[in-house]
Amino acid sequence: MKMKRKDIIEELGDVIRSFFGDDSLAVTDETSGDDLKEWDSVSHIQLIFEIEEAFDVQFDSDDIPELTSVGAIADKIETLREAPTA
Amino acid sequence: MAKLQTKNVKISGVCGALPRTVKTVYEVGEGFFDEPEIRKITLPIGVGNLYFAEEGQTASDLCYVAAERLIDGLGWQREEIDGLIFVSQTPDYIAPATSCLLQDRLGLSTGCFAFDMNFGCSAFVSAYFLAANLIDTGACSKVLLLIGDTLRRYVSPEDKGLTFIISDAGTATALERSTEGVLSSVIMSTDGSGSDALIVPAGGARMPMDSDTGIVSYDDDGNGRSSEDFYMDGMAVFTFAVKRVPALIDELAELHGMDKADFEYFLLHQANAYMLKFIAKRSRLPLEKFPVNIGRYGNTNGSTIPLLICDLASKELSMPKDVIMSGFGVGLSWGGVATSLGGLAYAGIVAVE
Repeated sequence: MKMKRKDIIEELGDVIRSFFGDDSLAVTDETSGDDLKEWDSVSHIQLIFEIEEAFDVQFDSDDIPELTSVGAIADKIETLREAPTA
Repeated sequence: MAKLQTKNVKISGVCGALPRTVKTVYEVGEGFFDEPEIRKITLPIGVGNLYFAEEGQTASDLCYVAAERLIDGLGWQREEIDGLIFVSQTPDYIAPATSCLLQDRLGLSTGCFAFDMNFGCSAFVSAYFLAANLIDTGACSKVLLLIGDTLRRYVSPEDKGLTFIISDAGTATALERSTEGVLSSVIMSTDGSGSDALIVPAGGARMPMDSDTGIVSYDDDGNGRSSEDFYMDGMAVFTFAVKRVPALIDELAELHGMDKADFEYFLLHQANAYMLKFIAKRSRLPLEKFPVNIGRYGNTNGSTIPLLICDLASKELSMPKDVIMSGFGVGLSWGGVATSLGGLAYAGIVAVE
């Protein structure tokens, strides 16, 4: 089902805050691994799994390394949720 | 595509051998990482204990103990064993092949064809593929797959991507000619373009060890390692596995003539628990069908599938069940076996003194 960009960012914020255990974390379109020390290559994979679960989507495995910012993740979620399902 | 189907081969028994020294992940990380960080890294990947070979103890020492126990457990006559495959990335010598030393040490006949293979995470399925071919063609009738590694020696204690995962072990698996008509389907694949994703850069002919190769440098995540240490590009390996393994499961099920949902277990290389979750999800299969024992033994490289079989042998695999086994990793190489597995004549794990 289609979601508004604003709602995607909000929900991504909830997932990211919960994942890193930091309720005060401000999450915007621009937030990326560069802003968060804990968002390293090990935690990235786990975070992507949590996001897939929360949004009920599956990213293409080739795309996963590139999803290093909230904006890039939101773009991909928008695309996946607009795509017709089989 | 490299593939095989045969009704002439069965696994008769499996034995694992673990070194005496076992450490918790907290003991492994002590002095390099604090407890909260170790907990954060290891909880999702599911690792609890890791095994360390003793000084001077090699992979072939561990495999030897496993093979002795297995041969005795099965009641095999040593002169009947006409094939021995040793699969390792930590052989005793550059030359000769460690399998030749094991043939002699185990008291096998000189009529035994013994050879080494260099595989890691895909060792079990690769060796199964070759052994099954040897048996299917009638070239051999009883083959030992001796798979083991002592890779801990190549892991930097400052590399958080590897130091909490890699563990030492040796295993022995017995394959023999069967008239029971159990179908085995095997598919093997290779993608050497990813060879630098899992590599020990220095120490071979391409980059001999010198005064520079042992110098530790640090990456952006703070991991320290030298060119003589094992290196893993975690993201590349992860994306490789979650892309290739679900596709392999589909191909194997089709080759085997079964719906993948009808297989009772998927015995996968224990890379890390999170990766197994991803693979189960992308395969649209219930996670309960993917047994996990990485918490108990760590990632023992090529030994993970035999150790998994040992753990399941007394309960889940007390009777034959349809399973898919798959190994994937260094090479990059991957492959799988679909067969009916269980009711083994021998299965056990032994601690090596």
